[in-house]
Amino acid sequence: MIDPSHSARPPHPEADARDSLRRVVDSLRRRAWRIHGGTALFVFLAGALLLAALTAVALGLGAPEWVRWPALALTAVGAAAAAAWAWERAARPTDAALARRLESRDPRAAGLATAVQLAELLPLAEGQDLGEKPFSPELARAHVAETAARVEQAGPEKAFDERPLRRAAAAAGGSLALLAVAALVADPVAEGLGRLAFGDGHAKDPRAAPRVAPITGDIALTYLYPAHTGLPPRTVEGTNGAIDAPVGTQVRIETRADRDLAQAFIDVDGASLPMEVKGRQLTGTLLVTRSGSYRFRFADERGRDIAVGPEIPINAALDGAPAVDILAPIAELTVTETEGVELQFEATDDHGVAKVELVFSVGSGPEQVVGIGAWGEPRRRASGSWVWELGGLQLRPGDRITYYLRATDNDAVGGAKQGQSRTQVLTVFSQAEHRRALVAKVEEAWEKMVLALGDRIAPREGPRAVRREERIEAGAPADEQVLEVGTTLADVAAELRKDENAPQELTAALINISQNVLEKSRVTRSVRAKARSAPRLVAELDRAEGLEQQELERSVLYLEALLDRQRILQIEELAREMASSRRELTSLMEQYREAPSDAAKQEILRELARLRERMRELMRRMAELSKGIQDEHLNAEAMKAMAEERDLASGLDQIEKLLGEGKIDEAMAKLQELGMQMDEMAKALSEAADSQAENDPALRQLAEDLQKYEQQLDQVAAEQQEIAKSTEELRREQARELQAQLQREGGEALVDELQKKVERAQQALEKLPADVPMRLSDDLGGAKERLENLKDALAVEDFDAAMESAAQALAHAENLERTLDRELGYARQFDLPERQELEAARGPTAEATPLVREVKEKLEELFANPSQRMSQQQRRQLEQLAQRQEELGRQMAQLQQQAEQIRQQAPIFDEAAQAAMEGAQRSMGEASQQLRGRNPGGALASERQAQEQLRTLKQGLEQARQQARGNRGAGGGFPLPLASGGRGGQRGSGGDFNEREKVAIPSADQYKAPDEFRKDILDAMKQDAPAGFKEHVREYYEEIVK
Amino acid sequence: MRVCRIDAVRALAALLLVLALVAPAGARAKEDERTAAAEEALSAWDMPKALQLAEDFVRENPGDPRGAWLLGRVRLHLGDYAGAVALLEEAGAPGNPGGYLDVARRTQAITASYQQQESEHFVFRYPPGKDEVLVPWALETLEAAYHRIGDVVGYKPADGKILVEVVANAEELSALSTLSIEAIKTTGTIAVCKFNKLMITSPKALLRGYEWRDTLAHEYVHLVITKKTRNRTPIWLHEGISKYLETAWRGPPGKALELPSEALLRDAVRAKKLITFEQMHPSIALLPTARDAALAFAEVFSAIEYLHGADPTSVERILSHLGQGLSDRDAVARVYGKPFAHFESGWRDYLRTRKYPEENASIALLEKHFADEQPEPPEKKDDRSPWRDLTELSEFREIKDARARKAAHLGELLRARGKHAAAAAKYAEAVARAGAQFPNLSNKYALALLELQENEQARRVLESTRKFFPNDVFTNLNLARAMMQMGRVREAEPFLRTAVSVNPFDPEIHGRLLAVAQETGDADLLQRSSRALALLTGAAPRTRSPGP
Repeated sequence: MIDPSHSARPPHPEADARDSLRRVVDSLRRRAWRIHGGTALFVFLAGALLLAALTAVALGLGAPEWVRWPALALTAVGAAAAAAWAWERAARPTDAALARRLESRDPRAAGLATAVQLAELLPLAEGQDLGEKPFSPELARAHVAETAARVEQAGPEKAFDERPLRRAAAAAGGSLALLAVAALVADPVAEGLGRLAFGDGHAKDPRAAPRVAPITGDIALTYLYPAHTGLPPRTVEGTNGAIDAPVGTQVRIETRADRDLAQAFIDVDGASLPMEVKGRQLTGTLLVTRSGSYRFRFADERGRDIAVGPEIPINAALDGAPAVDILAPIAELTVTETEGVELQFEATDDHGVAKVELVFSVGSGPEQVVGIGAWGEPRRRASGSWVWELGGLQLRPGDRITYYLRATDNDAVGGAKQGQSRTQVLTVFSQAEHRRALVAKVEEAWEKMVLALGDRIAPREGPRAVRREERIEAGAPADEQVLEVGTTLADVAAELRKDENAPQELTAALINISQNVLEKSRVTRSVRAKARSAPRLVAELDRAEGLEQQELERSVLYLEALLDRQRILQIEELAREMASSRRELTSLMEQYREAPSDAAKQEILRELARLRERMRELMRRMAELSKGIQDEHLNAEAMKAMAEERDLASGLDQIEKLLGEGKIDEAMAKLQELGMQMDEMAKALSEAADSQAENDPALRQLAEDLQKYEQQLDQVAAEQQEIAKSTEELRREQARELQAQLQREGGEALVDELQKKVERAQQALEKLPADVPMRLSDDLGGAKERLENLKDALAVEDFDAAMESAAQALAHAENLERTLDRELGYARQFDLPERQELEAARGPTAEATPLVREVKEKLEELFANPSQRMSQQQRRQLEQLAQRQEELGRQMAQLQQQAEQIRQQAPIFDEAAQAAMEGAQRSMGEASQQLRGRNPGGALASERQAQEQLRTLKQGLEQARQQARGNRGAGGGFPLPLASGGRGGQRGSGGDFNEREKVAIPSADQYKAPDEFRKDILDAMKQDAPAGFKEHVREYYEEIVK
Repeated sequence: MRVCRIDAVRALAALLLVLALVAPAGARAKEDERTAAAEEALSAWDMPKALQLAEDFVRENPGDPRGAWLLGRVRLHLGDYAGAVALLEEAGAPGNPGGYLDVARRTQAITASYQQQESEHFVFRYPPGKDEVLVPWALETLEAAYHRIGDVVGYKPADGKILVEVVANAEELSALSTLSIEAIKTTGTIAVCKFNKLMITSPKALLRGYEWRDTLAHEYVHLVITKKTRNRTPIWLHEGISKYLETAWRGPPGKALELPSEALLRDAVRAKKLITFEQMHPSIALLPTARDAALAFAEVFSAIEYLHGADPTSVERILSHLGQGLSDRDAVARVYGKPFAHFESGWRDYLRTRKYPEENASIALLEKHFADEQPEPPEKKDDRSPWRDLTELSEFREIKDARARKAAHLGELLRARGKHAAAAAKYAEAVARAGAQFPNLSNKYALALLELQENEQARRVLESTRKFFPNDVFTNLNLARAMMQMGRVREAEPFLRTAVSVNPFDPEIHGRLLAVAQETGDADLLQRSSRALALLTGAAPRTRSPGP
């Protein structure tokens, strides 16, 4: 049924239907052309490409050129066949046939063929005569209209399948790809394709040209080199013509033609240079400007080319940039700010080096250039040395100078070229930096100690502690670690001991710790070895391990506190350096304000750069500190100061900006403000160091205990002095009586004998060098002086004075001997340089001491049985003195206990201090016995010895304090270790060996030594030499640095 | 802490000034009476009445700025900030800092993007983002407080849902509450009950969080007291009752005093240096030192403890008397049955016989530090350890015993170098000497033990310190770690719940809660912790335990 909606269509619905059908049929035909035409085209292409490939292979393999013609013919035939085939399928079928094709494939097109046929038969306009038709026009129209409406939804796709087209396209694409790949990978195919496309003539120059062949005979070349090369002219005969010369060289070419000719040319770089022709002899000249080639060309009288020679190469040697090497010093060198550094260099160039310059910059400052060598005559190799006086650079410790050498050649043709050496660095020696490096070593040793402590504790006290016999092996691994720690600590101590810049309290602490740890470790290992065969010793092993653990614990904590202190001091030092830099900056800015100049401004910028670098370093150090330091040791203000430093950097930026804008007054005001901030920070840091002990209860307790100890020591020393004074009084009374008695009985022989012994002792001591180390010199001087007094007293038969002098001389001599032994021990342990000196002193000392002792004993014999000469009152006095001396002995014992308590907290006391305490107590005991025995002379000697020991202790404490002051303003209440084990006083303080004094210019060869070695020498140069050794030391260093 | 700063006097003065200028003389007396009633209702946070009166006034006096002024403030108290701003502007209210208009504007600006969730009695508003973590825990706390605290005080607000707002930091709390930043930071104020709502600082503003759930309850008690007594409660009773009842939402009241406060109270009692109630007036926050303030809080807490201990209805009755207009002294005297002076001496006697712990702890432990005052939280130092070390180096400053401190410090050195067994030995020595009152020391000890899988020992160490600091977040977290490391996952739950009540922004806590929920099949907890993890880590919810 017809859809009534069709009635609503526009007029001439039949015409619309016919149009619709027409569109359908047209689209079917287009589709037929696309499918069949496309298929034919791709099939043709596939075939043609395959044929081309086969032909190309044949041609490429050498087939004659005619092969291409059949191939091309076949291609043309194929093209025609393909076109015909396509025509047959797309153009020939009628509209009805196309419609039928669609109708047969798409149900929506049912009746299409009929509709197409009917539409052709129906008249276009109403009223036209249809004539005799075998169908109903209405029905036909309705059919046409209905089919047209329906078929619009059916596309032409179903009428013609695309698959053949796709397959053909794939075949064509595959063939093309195959051919392309073949052409790419196989030269014959490529060649064959070329021949197929263009024939054999395609490679030939289309212009007619003479055949290329040798046309000249032997060629002689005369080189005239450019003047800057300094090379003489050179002629080379019998060559093939190849030119090899620097750019700028004139080459004269002489050759002989293979024929008579009218004209000859040298073709080079597109230019033709005429040659002089004399018969067959040809002469010409060319200038070498670049690498390439030239050839000879002959021409007839009319200028027509008659022969062309082959290309002959020109190899133009370009003038290379010069090379320069720094032979000395080494790449990174530490120097003093005033010394001269010898730069040794070698520069090379292919033609000539004109000059060598030093280019350097201090810190991040601008580059500066100094000429250090220039040569008028061309030199291919130039070497030399130049002393760089650093004094004029106004360097500061820690400054870093980067430098390199720059060589310039004398190339007058292409322009001067430059080459430069590698960049090297000079670092101005900074005590602070050096000390930091030393402290880092101590930190490393400390870390090891903590780990060893952990392994010692775990099997003893950890949650899974090992009990009974199992402990013997469980604790063994820690033995090795503790031993290694002790050795490491001793090694570091030895290194620090050799270094004057080392913080002395660290040195002293390390010595004490290493000795204590090694001793405890020795005992533990020994007990463990025994326990392996006797397990009952487990309890003893536990005790030994426990003592070792305690030693490690207190050492870890004390050394950590000392390291914290060092870190704070380092920052403080850096802050001081910054303050100095800031002052310098202020001064420069004031100068600039008075007399502005570019140079002054540059100087200011340099100083600003320096300050900025210091600040950067400070910030870096503070960042490290804030992570590493135990904040228990810091007060809140110090922490705040550390946080505030960040603001300083922005202050510098502002100053630089203001300077750039020319606002000098504002810049100065800002600098002043910055200075105040920096001062506050420095103050806070200083307070932090001072309050370190206050913030840590353990340190505070230790400091208090040490203070109490010192007070007690003072009291004991004062009481001992009192007792000695009273004893001396009694002794004098006795002596006077004895003197009277001897005068009565005659005592010259005895005096003579004693005097001779004294003289022998003096002679022995005279063998010792006058400038012994200071720690020996006191006792040596004392002994000598007392012996002199003794001699004088004997001469006037003042036996009391003689007795006293003898006792004092003996005390000094014995002390000297002990100190010498101890120092020798250290020297051997740490392999110190003064070992030989000390060994040499040992003999004379050992010789003198017994002589003095004999004199003293003889004199004591004289005073024997003094009680017989004593009054009742004197006896009572002696008795009282004995009681006081005994009491003092008890106090001394308490003092030792106090020391032990301190020792339990930290390794404050060294072996010498402990020996001194023991010695003092022993002497006190002896003195009280002598007093009880009513022998005031003997008692006095012992009392004096006790006094000496107490003085030694006191001096140790004093020295520790002085060392702390050496590092900074004050000890800040920090309990420091006794320094007798350190370097304290090792070198005299009166030396005039100025570290800034210029010794000599070190030679270049010396700089080739490792930097480490050089630093050692520098360190050593800065150290004071003992009086008398000064010249020798100077000579020595001059020798080794030459 | 509750800080009620009523600007009513100033507001009233301004209103009266306006009235004097614009009101016809004849109507002034009647209108004064009505506005005074409205002001009283507003002051008592009787919002239905205040709203009614204000709206009546506006209706009857259209265009009268007094009406806009009154209704604007009512709107502010009802949380309608846009309405408040419009009305206050219409009234020509001054925009001076701290004034109503300023507060309304700033609150509107801050809360403009807020999200909100509601429970039966509360509306919880919070900034979008991580603070959503707080929601289920907060509403659970508030509803529990509504019922349990309501039972104790005999009052459960029924005039609409109570508004609770979370602010991001001290600055925002200052803006919403009119307290100065300095006052907030120096007094450690983290929550305020004002303008008929609770305002609480997000725990993430504090480096280690704080007891935010107890604080919510504390502020809620303030609100209840204000409403029940029509804002007639003096500060000492306000703070005492709030402090005493702040733990009632989760158990018995009176558990809020921690060791530092206990020690402070004990020492003051023994030294007879208690702060008098007169000295606490007008505000505890105005006492000269932080120590004095802490002592005053402990004292008022103990006063309520004394009253409540004698008669559990005391608090309810005192509040009722106050609401009826009695003075604090009379109200207490009537409930106590004797004159106030007798109560005071009875309380002092009670303080002398009260049981105190013998341990000491610094009041510094009570201080609240905002995140911007603190250094960065500590990172995991030892790569070999699975634990984050949340403690600080400086806590050993509090240990005065030199040997204990040395041992603790040695422990620290050893632990930092992976020597956990040795570290545990030294920590044990320190704890043996110093006691369990140093939570960081105990936690470090526990961390070393956990490393060694000595879980039971770690648990014992932590339990002994938890006695003194039941809410310490690290102690609870480490206890949970120990329990879970022992496979006792269910037993970790109470510790984790306590930890989340202090620091709800630690993903580890929620990760462990998730594991607990999976073990127990607690669907609500599972959902909470999954959502929290997604919010905090931005990652998809985890379904497995966060590790040992």
